[in-house]
Amino acid sequence: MWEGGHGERLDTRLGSRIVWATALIVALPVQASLAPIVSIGNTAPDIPLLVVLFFAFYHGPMASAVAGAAVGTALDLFAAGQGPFYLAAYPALAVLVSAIGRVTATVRALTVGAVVALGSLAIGVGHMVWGPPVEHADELLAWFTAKLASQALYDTALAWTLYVGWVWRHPPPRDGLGERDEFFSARRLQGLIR
Amino acid sequence: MAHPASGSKRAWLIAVGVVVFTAVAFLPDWQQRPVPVVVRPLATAYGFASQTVASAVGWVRDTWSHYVAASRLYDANALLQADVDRLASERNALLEVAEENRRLTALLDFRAALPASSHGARVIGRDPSRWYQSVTIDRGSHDAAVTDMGVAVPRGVVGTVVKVFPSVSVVLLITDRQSAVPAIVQRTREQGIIEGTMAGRLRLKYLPPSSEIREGDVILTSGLTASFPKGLMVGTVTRVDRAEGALYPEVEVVPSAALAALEEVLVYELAPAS
Repeated sequence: MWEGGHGERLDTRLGSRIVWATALIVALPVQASLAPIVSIGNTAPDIPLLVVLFFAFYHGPMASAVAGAAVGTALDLFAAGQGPFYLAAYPALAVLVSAIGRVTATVRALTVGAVVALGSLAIGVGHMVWGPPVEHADELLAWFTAKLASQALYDTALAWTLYVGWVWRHPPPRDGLGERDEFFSARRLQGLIR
Repeated sequence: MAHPASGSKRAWLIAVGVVVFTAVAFLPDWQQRPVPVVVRPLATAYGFASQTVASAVGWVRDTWSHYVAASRLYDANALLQADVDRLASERNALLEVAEENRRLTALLDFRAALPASSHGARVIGRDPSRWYQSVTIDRGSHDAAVTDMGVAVPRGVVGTVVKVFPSVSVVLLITDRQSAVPAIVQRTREQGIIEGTMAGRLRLKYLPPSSEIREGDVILTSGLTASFPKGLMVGTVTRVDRAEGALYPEVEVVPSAALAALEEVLVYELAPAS
């Protein structure tokens, strides 16, 4: 039990880590079970992607890469695709978003919307390229408009909802790169990680 | 002021007069005798009055009877309506039982018609990535599930098991663009490959250029893989495009299974290698 100013900060850090770890762990089951319920047409929010991106907003590149790799590995395991597509895509995206968050110092609504929209589009296009070749141009065009665009819009709308509900009042810290990797550098995890 | 005795005498006189008049007018013996000229008009008037009263009484009696009958009809109608409601409820229950019986019979017949044995499974989730078309079922390696097992519902083919875990398996739906299932046109017996598209539909490929396939044709599994027995319903042709110079006609097929509303499925054991 910590007491005093520094101890209270560590306690908050521990709670934050637990919340983020829980979000990363339950993202896939929530997506698999609840997404069909909240789907609009053929589009449902990409909850694992949103969790990884928001995690990257609040953490450094190293922690974001590890979180992205964990969620990506789980996705590659339980999704129907072949090969480590998400294991490659999610850490790269997370590191990029973490760097953007560090450069912009504090996350704004426009940043959140743009990053999530671009992330959703990137994952969709990457998935399309990763899979079998598309034989019909009209089919590809229809997919871009009906699936990819609607998916990006839905994800962006949900991201803005999260921004209004949480990020706006709890912006990411203006820490440097090393300090922002505190997800792994806090005292309780030092012995395990290092 | 009138004397009381005069009123009493008048009453007696009237009473005696009525009795005498009645005796004169209606007693058979008296009617056969000559009636005095004075009595006949009175008798006629009385008869007319009596008929009038009788008619009025009859009318009242009939009206009352109808009213009473109507009241009874109202009650009887209420009872009959209650019976109708009860019978309607029983009919609905019987229809529900009949529908359940029809479904179970169809399922049993369906399973009995299959050369390969199958096991029921429950759909417990959708693809977590949002980019593949797949479902997760509650049968895994502990239940002898292996990859490439075919999955279907009585209405048609659902997909193929692509990943197996101890307690769950991932089924790639036939509408995913990674999916390919050998198929046959029921009417023409021409064989091709059913593939998924990016739009979540089906396309029948590699038919001969001279194929006579047309809209409305039924597509079945051809049985050329171990995943599915021959003859399972895949879908119905909705569009045939014969582009000039194309190697084969483009055939669009709508899956017969309701892939967006899957709850329970049948998983087929792999057919033994021939």
